[in-house]
Amino acid sequence: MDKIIKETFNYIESELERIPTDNWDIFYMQDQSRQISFRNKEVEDFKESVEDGIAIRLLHENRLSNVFCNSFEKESINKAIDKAKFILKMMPPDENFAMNDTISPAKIKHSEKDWSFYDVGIPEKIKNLSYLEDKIFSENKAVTKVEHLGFAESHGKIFYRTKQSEIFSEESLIYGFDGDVIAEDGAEAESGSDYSYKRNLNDIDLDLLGQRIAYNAYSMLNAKPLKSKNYKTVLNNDVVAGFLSFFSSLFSAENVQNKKSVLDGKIGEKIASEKFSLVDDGLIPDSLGSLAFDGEGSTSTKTSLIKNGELKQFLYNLKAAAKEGVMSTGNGIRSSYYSTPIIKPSNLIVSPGKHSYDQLCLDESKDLLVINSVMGMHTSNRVNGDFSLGATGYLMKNGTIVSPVKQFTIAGNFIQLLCEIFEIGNDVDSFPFGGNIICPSICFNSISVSGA
Amino acid sequence: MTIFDSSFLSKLIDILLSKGGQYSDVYIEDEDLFSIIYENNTIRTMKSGNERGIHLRVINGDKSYSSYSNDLSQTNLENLAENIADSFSSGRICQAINVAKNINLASNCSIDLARYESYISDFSNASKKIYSVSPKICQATLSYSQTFKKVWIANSEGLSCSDDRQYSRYMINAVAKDGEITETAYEGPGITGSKNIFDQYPIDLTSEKVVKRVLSTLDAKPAPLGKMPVVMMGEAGGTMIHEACGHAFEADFIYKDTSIFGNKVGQKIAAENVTVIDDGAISGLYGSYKYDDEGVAPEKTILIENGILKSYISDRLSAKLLNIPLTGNGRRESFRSKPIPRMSNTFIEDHDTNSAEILSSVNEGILVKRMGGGQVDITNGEFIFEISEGYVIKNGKISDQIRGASMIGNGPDVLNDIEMVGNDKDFMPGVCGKYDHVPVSDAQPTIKIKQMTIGGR
Repeated sequence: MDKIIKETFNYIESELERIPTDNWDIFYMQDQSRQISFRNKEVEDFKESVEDGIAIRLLHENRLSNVFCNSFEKESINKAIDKAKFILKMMPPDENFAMNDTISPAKIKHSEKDWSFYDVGIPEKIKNLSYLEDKIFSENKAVTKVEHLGFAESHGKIFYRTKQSEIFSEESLIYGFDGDVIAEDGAEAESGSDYSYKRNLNDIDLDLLGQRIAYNAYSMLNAKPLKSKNYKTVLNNDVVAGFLSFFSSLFSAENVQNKKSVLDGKIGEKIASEKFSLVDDGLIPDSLGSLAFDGEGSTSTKTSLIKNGELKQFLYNLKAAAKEGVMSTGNGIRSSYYSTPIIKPSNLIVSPGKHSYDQLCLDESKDLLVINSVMGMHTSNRVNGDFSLGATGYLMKNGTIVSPVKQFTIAGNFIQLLCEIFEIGNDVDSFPFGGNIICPSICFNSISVSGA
Repeated sequence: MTIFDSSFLSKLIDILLSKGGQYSDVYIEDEDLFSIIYENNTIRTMKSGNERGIHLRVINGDKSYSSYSNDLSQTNLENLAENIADSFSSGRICQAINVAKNINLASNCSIDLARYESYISDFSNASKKIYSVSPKICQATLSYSQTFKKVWIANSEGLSCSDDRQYSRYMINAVAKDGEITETAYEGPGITGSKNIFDQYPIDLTSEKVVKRVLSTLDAKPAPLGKMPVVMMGEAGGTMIHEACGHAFEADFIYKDTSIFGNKVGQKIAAENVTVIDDGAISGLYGSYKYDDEGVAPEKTILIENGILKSYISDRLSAKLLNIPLTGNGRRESFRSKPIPRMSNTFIEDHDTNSAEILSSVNEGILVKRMGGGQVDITNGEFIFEISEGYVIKNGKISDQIRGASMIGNGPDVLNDIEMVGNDKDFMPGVCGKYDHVPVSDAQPTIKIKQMTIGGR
């Protein structure tokens, strides 16, 4: 371990020893990152960073306080600890505030880490961007402009301990490309984007990504308005992931306890189609959302949320678990040193079905709507699951596209939607949206469309 | 406490330009923050923190190279600056002008936690009151946050300046349930400056608004769907002008030729009664500042005057590239980001009609009393917004309240479709999420739009 980090932990410990506390924790996070933007065969923007910071929490007589800082001079740390002491006094006691005494990280068998962050030169990474740009333009003549093409990589480390525990650490590397392009046809312009983030740089398929970025733009040209009615609808896997990411808060035990989830009181009830099973699993080797322990030092677990349509369990951090006298599911996740641990999925996984994407989109009998993008997800209702979204996509018949469609909204309720599942695809992909969402495309019997 | 003397700053700025580039700057920030979340009649979290960091940047033509860090030691900063300079191979082409002033990082804006003790009892009273109004109210969340942010900017043109910014905001969110129906409502006033936000926006008035809205929405009916005229009231907030139109005036999009308003200065792009302004210099508003994050003072920028496109919103890079004036809109969330053209306080200017007259002119349509969130595609201007409080208009009068509705449309079309403009504009604070987050505000008077598509359940 870095000598300075060790010294900082020791200094904080020596200062905290002087204060009466039942428990405390120190969370240190370091992030080194690099972002390269590329456009018209040139690097447009190049950014590097090294950043670290620390959060300290005190627990005493059922009160909890939380402070953070990112300078490690003694003066700054002492100031932070003083604030922590003051907040502790102001907080009302709550017997459910909790911290771990001991920490036992889960053993996950990840394969060797990819150190391309340091081992692969910057010119090589720029060459990849150039390759991706060429690929995008070669896909279709209608693709005229690159709005943004980016490469990002980061190397993160965390160190964590509580009053009685040793210091434990986790380390992760992530690589990704993303692109946003414009296709034009006369007066019409449409943008299309896509991205791919992986633990290994070489796992990113630039040809496929380039194809998808270009397709998402040019395939939408000359899109038509859509008639208002109910359509049998396929949501593409990235759209499904957007829904799951936003509405994952319905599965937070804290939200359920606070009457902020429509799933309150529904454990054991059938809430979705029998075809639908949903699991949170922080233990999957080589997956972006996997964690040996969460932001409170709780061991990661696998939690079945919905099994064959039946609601099984919610996700817990320490406080929500204490309230019900159960164990934390290891979902008290911190996204940085300045955020408090909140309940979030680790890897949220939809069990795949048997149908390929093409089979999913095949329906001889009537019109089928395929949604490739939605707008305004954050305006949906996190409490009751209602949504009303701007959408674009394709109207299909017999497995072929009749026309791209836009300027319409789809509306409904997330939970009711889960009951309307017709078939689940097998085109599983992973999407790092807050938590890591692993899901296929899904076909629904009926979604209400308001359009022309 | 760290002091950067002017000679060290000059040296840093000079290293950045040592191997190429025309412009370099240094941005330093020190931020103290306090926040409380009050839920279920008790404090859920209380948090305080301090963050500081530096962002170094070189601009060469239309390219930028930058680095940021929270390590302010001189050795680290010289290393970072040398690494950035090494991205160039052309050799020095530009000489920096020396910075005259020292930067003293001794922060005079440190948070005094004791002052927040009285807010906690105010929250406690307000929260109890909200629950007592109706058994249908199942959840009340109140939150408060205050940020003291000091920024220092120095650049290769010899500029050095600093800005002290103080942001206060609170939010009240209520959830109500009636049988199977669950609805939420919220209000979130925000100000800049040293005034007490609770004096300007009393907590009782705000919670009354929230409670009234959440309860009335429970009884509301589903919206009629399809295309129809829409009246947006002044108090609905200017989210639409920000999202659906404002972004298309940002000069980085103009330079990249991805905005619908590119090359349209002097052309008619909106109805004649429409004037749109961005002004970061209005004191106290949530999107105001003394200097932007590149050390440029904000000003009143007329974007559309009587329907004609007048100017764009710029930062230093885009202003130089497009040869347009600096408008003081180079903004960033923190030391982690580079500045880009961002709106400040953006609004449709008042016109001559009063709101009652506008309402009575509509036979059948939708009245939007309060906007919710939304999203926009800058390339083509397509947008969606939720209607958090809306009503059916029948024969010029307000009829049934609607729930779960949203409206979709196209920014440029809407600008042309504004048939009437009122005189009751009202600013609402918000957070703009273009790449990263900065505080903004927006406003519009009551307007009548010829038609928009209403969606919903």
